[in-house]
Amino acid sequence: MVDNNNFALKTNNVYVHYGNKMAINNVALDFPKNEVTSLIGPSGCGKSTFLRCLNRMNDVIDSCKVEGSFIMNNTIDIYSDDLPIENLREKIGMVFQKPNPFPKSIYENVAYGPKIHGVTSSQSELDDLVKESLHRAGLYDEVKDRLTDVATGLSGGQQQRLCIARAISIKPEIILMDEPCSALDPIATAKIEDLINELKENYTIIIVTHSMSQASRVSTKTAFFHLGNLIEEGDTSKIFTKPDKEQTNDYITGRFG
Amino acid sequence: MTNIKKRLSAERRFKFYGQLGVFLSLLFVTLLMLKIFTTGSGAFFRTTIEADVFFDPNFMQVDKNSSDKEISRASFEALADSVVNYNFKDLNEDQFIKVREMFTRRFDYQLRDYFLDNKDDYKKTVKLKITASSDLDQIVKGNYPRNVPEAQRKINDYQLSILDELNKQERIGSTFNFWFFTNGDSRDPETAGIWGAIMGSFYALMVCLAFAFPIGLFASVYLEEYTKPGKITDLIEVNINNLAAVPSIVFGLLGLGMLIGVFNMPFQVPLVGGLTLGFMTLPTIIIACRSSLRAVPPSIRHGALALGATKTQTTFHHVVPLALPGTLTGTIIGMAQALGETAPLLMVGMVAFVMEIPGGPLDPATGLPSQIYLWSESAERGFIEKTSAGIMLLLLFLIAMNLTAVLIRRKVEVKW
Amino acid sequence: MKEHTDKNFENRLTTIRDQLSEMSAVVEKQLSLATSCIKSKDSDCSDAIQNLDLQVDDFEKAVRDECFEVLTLHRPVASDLRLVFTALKVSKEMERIGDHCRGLSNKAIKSKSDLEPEIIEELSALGKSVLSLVHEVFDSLFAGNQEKAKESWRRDLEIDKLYKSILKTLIDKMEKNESIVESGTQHILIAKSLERIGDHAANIAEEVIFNISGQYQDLEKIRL
Repeated sequence: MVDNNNFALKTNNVYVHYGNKMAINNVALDFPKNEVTSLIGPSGCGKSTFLRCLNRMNDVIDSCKVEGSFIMNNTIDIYSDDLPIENLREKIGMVFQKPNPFPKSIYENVAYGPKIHGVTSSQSELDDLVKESLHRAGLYDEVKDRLTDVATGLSGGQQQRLCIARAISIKPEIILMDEPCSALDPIATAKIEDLINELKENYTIIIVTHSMSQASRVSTKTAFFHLGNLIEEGDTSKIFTKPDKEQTNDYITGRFG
Repeated sequence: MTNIKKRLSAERRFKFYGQLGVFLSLLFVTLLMLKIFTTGSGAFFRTTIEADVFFDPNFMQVDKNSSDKEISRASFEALADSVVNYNFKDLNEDQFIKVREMFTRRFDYQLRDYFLDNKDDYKKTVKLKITASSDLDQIVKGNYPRNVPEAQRKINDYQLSILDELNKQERIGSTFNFWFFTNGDSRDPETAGIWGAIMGSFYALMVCLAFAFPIGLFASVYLEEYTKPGKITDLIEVNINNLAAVPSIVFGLLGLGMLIGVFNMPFQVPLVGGLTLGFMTLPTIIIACRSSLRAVPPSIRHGALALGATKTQTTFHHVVPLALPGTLTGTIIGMAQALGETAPLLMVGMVAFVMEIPGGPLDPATGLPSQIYLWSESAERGFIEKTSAGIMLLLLFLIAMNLTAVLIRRKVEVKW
Repeated sequence: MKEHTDKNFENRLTTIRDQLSEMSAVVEKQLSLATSCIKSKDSDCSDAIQNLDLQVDDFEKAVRDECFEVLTLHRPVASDLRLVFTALKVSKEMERIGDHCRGLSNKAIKSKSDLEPEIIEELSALGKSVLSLVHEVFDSLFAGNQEKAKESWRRDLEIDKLYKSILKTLIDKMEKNESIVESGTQHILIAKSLERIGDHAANIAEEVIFNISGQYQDLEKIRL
């Protein structure tokens, strides 16, 4: 069950527009600390758009306008002018749908974040950090002898775990995952789902997925989006046993009309 | 099912046309190459006349203890004349002139250069291979016909008889013409070389690269990564694309009017020529660079941004390095194009007779294609083979540069 | 609720519902015959009940197999999962009711008719109560009526009381009259069967509540 008193991130009155078109309509959603929350819904329902609001990746898109309150740890306003966006992204990391390692060595990929943020003060410290991040991502044993090999030579599942290692190397508090397994085969997917289960000990994880079975396996809280609206949110086991809204039930049972 | 025969035969015909086209183009290229090669290969050899050279103190202003500077300044004309007399006894005045004409006009320089390196041969006699004059060289190479009336020949009968005599004595030889690669231009074809033009082009291209590449790179990065799409950026892009198609002589006019007219830069120097070529190459580099930047997938940028990199860090740590190979390919092609251009250099004066090898971008110089043009305009027969040799060299450089571009591109594709 | 996009899935769920519905009709018929058997002691009754029981067994197997296929191949969630889960449990309860009907009808026919008519009447009344309860529970199942299911569950408590009183009466009578011990015992067992049927109906009521609300509720507390 979810601990209702401890939230890593609280959002309220969230509206997102692309030009004149509304993508997110008045969403309020809170994310419990050190839990996995999944966002589900059909294509175009706004779940990825909402996710990208949380680390301000929507700022990259010119026509996108975001309104609402996003408060982290009850104190930090994510959209405040006082908080540099680079510092925000140090606290909230992201893993993307298609694995996107830099075409550099495996070591360089994981070391890049700490380097630009000046996290470590010596080469050996950096080495240790890279090693630890790879361990936590469940990749170290597979690559320990070839850290200087180029990252794009790894398999899809390994690349995605490398991206996870890269994200956790700067010690974020929250990790956002946008359909992280949709480009992977079942074995790679299973490994990553297992990894997510381990990671939640130390990080709050918010995962967008189009696979309802993944949402049910991996998350403790589930939120269902439809056409930019948050239809329902609650404990995953409740959503998958008896959701409150008929729309939710229709979607997760496969009654798409 | 019934039209399969038609389709297959159409397929075969199309393939045939393609192969025919390829074959014909290869044929014509081969013929062109053969023509140039056969004409130009002569330039790599020059005829020599073996002569006994006595470093007679009576005809020399310097001795073995003189300094290099003194020797360089001294005249060896008298010594040259003495060598002719030494080797050909009892010549009357007219004959003397004719025999002397069979040797290169630069005979004295050849003696001086030898003496600079061999001062100990003072008062000694050595056998030297003196370069023959261009007319003699052409007769020996068979480019001038021998069996026409004397009036139509450059070599008169007397000189021919001396030639035959020397041939009998086996004193007519041929040596590899290093001078072609080490000398600057000259009025005498036998001593004319292409090194001056190569250095001129080299300095011009260096200036062009140093000017156009950084500006092109940063302009592209700015236009591609930092500006928002809109009417103004569209306008800029259209204008850059148009500039790439502007005739090169217009850039020459720009160089003349702006660099020389307004900024009072010197005339005829590679600095100005290089800048003019830079103006011309800039659009090519920008187009290549922008295209490469666009080819970098947004996922790389997003990956870096999501890690907390600033826009500049993302651009210069990730995007530009990935776009660099494509940019370099475009740059090299642009450079190859600039190498072969004469028109812009014409307007800033780099198409002119320059004898000295330029030491830097501020010395007067001519460019490689310009040199070829000048030689082709010359009346002397000896310059024909030099022109073809120059063309061969130019083609070699162009092929080498384009090959480099291809190799870089291939290396990029493997990584991605 | 919209229709399943996967028609195959939709058809299977419909099949399960239909089979359950038909099964419930057969079980009700069995129970009706069985309760009439208590008074009539007609041996034809018994044969009919045997045949119906075979049908009930077939239905139970059919529902079980269909549910298993759906679980394996379609991985149902939410309302679909609850349907399958309920169908499995309810079909089992129905099958047990059928078994009890068969048992009690056999005993009714074989026992001697030496008991007082009042006692037979009481037993018959118990049978009718149980029949009505089972009918109500089946209604609540197919109509999706949570309140009705809770009502049914409460009514089982009445059945239990009725059973206890009949039991006491029969024991008293048997203590006073040794000759009726054999038939008395038989009729105690008949009453017991009816009471067990009531329990099964109450179990079904619990499953109906789970199917509608998604939770197993503590009905003892609700009663109070």
